Amino acid sequence: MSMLNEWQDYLPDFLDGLVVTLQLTGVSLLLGLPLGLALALAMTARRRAVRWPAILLVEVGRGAPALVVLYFVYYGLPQLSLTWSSFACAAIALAFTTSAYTADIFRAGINSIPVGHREACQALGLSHGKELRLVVLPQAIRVVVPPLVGFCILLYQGTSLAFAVSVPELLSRAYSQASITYQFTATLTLAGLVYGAISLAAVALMRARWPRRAPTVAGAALPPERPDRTNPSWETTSERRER
Amino acid sequence: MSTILSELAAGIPQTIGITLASFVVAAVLGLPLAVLRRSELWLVRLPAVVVVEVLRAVPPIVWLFLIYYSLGSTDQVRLTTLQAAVIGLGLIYAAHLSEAYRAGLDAVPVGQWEATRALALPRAQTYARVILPQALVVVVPPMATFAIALLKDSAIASVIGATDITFHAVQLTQQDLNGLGNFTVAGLLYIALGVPFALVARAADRVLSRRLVGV
Amino acid sequence: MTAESRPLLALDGVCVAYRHHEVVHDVSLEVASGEVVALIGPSGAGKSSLLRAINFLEPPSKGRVLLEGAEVGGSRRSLDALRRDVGMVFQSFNLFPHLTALQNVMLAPVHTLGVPPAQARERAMQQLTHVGLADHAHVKPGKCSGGQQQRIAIARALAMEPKVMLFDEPTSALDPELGAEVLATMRSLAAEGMTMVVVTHEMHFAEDVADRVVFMADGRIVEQNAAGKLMRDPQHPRTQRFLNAVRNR
Ligand SMILES: Nc1ncnc2c1ncn2[C@@H]1O[C@H](COP(=O)(O)OP(=O)(O)O)[C@@H](O)[C@H]1O
Ligand SMILES: [Mg+2]
Repeated sequence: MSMLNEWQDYLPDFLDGLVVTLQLTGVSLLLGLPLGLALALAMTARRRAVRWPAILLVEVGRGAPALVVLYFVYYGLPQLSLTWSSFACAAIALAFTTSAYTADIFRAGINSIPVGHREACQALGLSHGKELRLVVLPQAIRVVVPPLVGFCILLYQGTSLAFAVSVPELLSRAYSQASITYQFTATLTLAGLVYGAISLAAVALMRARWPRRAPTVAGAALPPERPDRTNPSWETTSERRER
Repeated sequence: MSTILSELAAGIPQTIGITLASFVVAAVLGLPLAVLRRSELWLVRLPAVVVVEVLRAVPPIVWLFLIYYSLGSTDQVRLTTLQAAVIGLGLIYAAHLSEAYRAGLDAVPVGQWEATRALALPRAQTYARVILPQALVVVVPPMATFAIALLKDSAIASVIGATDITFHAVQLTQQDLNGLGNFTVAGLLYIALGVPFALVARAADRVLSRRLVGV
Repeated sequence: MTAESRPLLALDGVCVAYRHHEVVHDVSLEVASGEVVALIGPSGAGKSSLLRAINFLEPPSKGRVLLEGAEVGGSRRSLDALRRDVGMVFQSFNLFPHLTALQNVMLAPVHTLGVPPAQARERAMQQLTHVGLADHAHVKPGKCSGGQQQRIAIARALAMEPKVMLFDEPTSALDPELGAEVLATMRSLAAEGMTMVVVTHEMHFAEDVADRVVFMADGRIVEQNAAGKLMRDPQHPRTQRFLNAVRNR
C-alpha cells in the first residue's frame, strides 16, 4: 500500500519525464526514417561510390552500441565547438541508430519486390526514379511497416539510454527521485511499469493488426533480417544495368 | 589511435566476460522457457508467456538499475556491478533466446513428432535424439545474432559502473576531452569483437548441417 | 537496300553471357514488319535469353541489335527509344499488384511517353477493351484469373504502341483453358498485322499463327523455315527429335 502512496507523489514528475521520452522517440523517428530510406536507396544504388559509404554507415550504425554512438555525439560535438543540449545530442545519436536499422528494413522491403516487376518497368521504358516512386516503394511500404512498428517500440525503450547524458526523460526522473528519497525499489518499479505498459500495449496492438507477420519485441530486437545477399532482386537488375 | 586502443583495452575483459556469462545464463534459462511456452496446458504456458513478455517490455537499462540498486542493495544481498549486469542481461536474453528456441522447435516437422510417438520414444529421448538436433540447425544463426546484440547491450553495464570498454572510454574522455577519437575506437572495438561471434556461428552452422546430413 | 525490304528488327551476331558464361552464341535473325516469328526449342536452349537481349533486359555481350536499321545500345537515349518501340509480355505477367488493371496500362504512357493522363486513360480503356477486359479496368490483378492477368499485361505493352511485341512463353503459367483466351488475343493481334516474336511451347499456335518458326538448341539457331514447312518436314535431326518429343507428350 505504501508503494502506491509513493507512486502518487512521483507520478506528475514521471509523466513529465514520459513526455520527454516520447518527444525523443518522435524526433529520432522524424530525423531517422528519411535518412534510413535515403541510406537504403544509396545502398542499392548502381554506383559503387554511392553504395559503399552508405553500407559503411549502416554497418557502423548497427554494429556499434547505441550508447557508444550517444557518447560519441555528446562528447564529440563540443570538440567541434558545437554546444548543443543533451536532448539534441541524444536525438541526433538515436536518429543515426534509427537510420541504420531502418535502412536495412527498407532495403529488405525494396529487395522483396520480384525482379520481374522491375524488368517490366524497364521493358516499359520507365526511368529509374519513376520505377522506384511508382512501382517499388508503394509495394515495399506494405512489407516494411510491421518491422518498422517493431523498431519504434524498441526505439521507445532505447530512449532510456539518454539517462547517461542526463536528458530529463523517464528513467532520469526515476533515478533523481530515488537519489533524494532512497526509494530505489518504488521509483524504478514505477518507471519499469510505465515503460512496460506502453511497450506491451503497442505489441498487443501490433499483433492484433498483423497476426502472423508481426514480429514480437524479440523479433524487433533481432537486428532485422539480413536481406538474402545471394538473391537480391535489386542487385540483379542494377548489375544488369551496369553492363 | 594506438594509445586510445591500449587505454580502452583494459575494458575488453569485462565486456567479453559480461557478454559470455550473460549468454550462458540466457542459453540455459531460455530452453525451459521455450518448452513451457509450447505446453498444451495454458496454466503452464501462461507464466512462461508473462515472464518472456515482461522481460522484453522493459528497457535493459531499467532492469539493470532495478537489479543493482533495488534487489542487489539490501542487507542480505550485495551484488557487484558485474553480477547485476550478468543477471539482468542473462534474464532478458533468456526471453529473447526462448523465442528463437521456440521457432527452432516449431521448425521440426510434425511428422517427426508423430514418428517418435509411433515409436513410443520416451520424451527425453524424443528431444535429445530427434528434435533438438534438428532444431539446433535452425537456432544457431539467430543465436549468433542475439550474441552480437548482447555484446552491444553489455555497454549498458558501464552505466551502473562495470569497468568495460565503454566505461574506460568515458573515463578517458573526461581526462583528454577527445570524445570523437575515443568513442570511434570504442565503436570499432565492439564491431571487431562481434566478428568472431559471426564466424563461429557460421562455422557451427556448417558443422551442424553436415552432421545432420550424415545421419 | 530499300526501305521496303529493310527488316524491322535485326539481330547480328548476338551473344548473351551470364558472368562470362555464354549461353547464346552468335545468333543472327531478321524480322520483317508484320511478321510473326515463333521461337521454339528445348528448355535451356537460350530462347528467353535471346528475347531479353532484344530489348536489352539482358544486354548482349557481343553483336548488334538493329531496329529499323538503326543500331541500339550505347546511349541511354537509344535504349529508351528501343524500350518504347518494343513491347514485352512475360511468362509470369509481372503486373504491378498495387495498381488496378487500368492503372497498370496507363502507367508507362503517362510516365514514359508523357501522354496527358486523361488521354492515356482513354487509350488504356481502348486497350483493355481490345483484350476483352474493359469490365475489369478497376480491378486489381490479384483478383483476376491468370488468363485475364496475362491479357492485361498484353494491354499494358500495347498501350505503348510498340512496333514489335515480344512474348516469353505467355501461356505456360496458365491452365490450357486460360491459355486459350490469351492465345486468341495474340491471334487477333497477329491478324491486325502486329510484328511479334513469340517464345512458345504451343505447337499449334506456332503452326497456325506464325509466319516463320525458328528452332533453337544449345544457344544456337539450328533451323528455321516457314511455319508449316518446319513443323511437317524438319531437316535437322535435332529438330526432328524435339518435335517428336513434343508431339508424343
Ligand atoms: N540470370 C541468369 N544467370 C545465369 N544463367 C542463366 C540466367 N538465365 C538463364 N541462364 C542460363 O542460360 C541458359 C539459357 O536459359 P534460357 O534463356 O532461360 O533458356 P530457355 O528460355 O530456352 O529455357 C540456361 O542454361 C540457364 O541456366
Ligand atoms: Mg525461357
